[in-house]
Amino acid sequence: MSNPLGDPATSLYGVLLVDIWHWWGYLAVIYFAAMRQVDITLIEAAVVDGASYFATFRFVLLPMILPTILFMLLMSIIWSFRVFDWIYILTEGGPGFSSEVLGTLAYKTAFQQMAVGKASAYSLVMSMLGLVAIAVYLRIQYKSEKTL
Amino acid sequence: MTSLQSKTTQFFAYLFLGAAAFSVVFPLVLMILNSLRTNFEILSSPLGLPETPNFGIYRQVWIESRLGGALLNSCLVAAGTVTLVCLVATPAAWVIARRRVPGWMAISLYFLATTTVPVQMFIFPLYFLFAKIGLLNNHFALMFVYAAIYTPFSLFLLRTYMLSIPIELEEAAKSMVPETSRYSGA
Repeated sequence: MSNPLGDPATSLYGVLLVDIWHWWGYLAVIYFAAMRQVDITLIEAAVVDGASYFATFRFVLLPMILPTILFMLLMSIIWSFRVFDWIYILTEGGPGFSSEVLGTLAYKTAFQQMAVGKASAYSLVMSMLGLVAIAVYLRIQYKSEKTL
Repeated sequence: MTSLQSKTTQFFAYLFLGAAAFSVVFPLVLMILNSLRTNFEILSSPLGLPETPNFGIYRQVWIESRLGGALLNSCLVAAGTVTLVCLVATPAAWVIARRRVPGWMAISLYFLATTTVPVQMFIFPLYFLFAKIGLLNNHFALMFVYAAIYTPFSLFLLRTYMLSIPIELEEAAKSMVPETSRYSGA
């Protein structure tokens, strides 16, 4: 089997897979903690009322942990723009520029070309992209009456 | 709950979860196995089993690399960071979740915006700043840096959990004990 990280056509998907792999366990722990907070009597009431397994999940469990899901979605977006370490370790943005992201580009510009000002500008673009997600998130917060 | 699931659903659920669990355990097992092999063995076959397990390596790193000292430093910094983050994030999460503070939107924006800054871009300015005020090689300085980095995320994660606490509970606590301030309700 050829190395997917060595082929410019697939290297981005390769690092994507590794980044998802290291991130999903963290999400699982946080969602697990959120689900443990859900009042068990609500689930029991749904089961007694004859709700199916998926209906219980969709209409009881999911709405209860929706604030956590929304927030982790926001953090996933922000931290995805910031992604650097996995890509730098695996491919250093290569081969060529096929798996280059803003994080690796900013790092190379700052510490290999020594153009720190330019790198800071790249980082600011990363922050701006994250700020768009934050604006949407805060808008949802503002519109919802009490929760979310 | 199991009675609600059909046998096929259960089978595929366990298949999926098993594969996911394997993907997590595999690198960890690989790390343990590789710790018992020589450099040559690892480079010649990265996925092989150790032929002559070298458990002495643990004794060696403990003594030669002063692993104990590093471990102690890590524990100290971790304990300090956790304490600081909990002290700051928990009350802040409570007031922001209940919107008790004017301008909670602006405060949220301020905290969330700090999470978008990539760490490698402020490590160097931070180093020179700390050098100037004489805080290099200092556990407490490190704790403050880590606390500053992790507080926004902890704050908003705690906030989502606090949103699910019914506000009636807080009101009941307030009406039961007249002198109870609203903060002790937290």
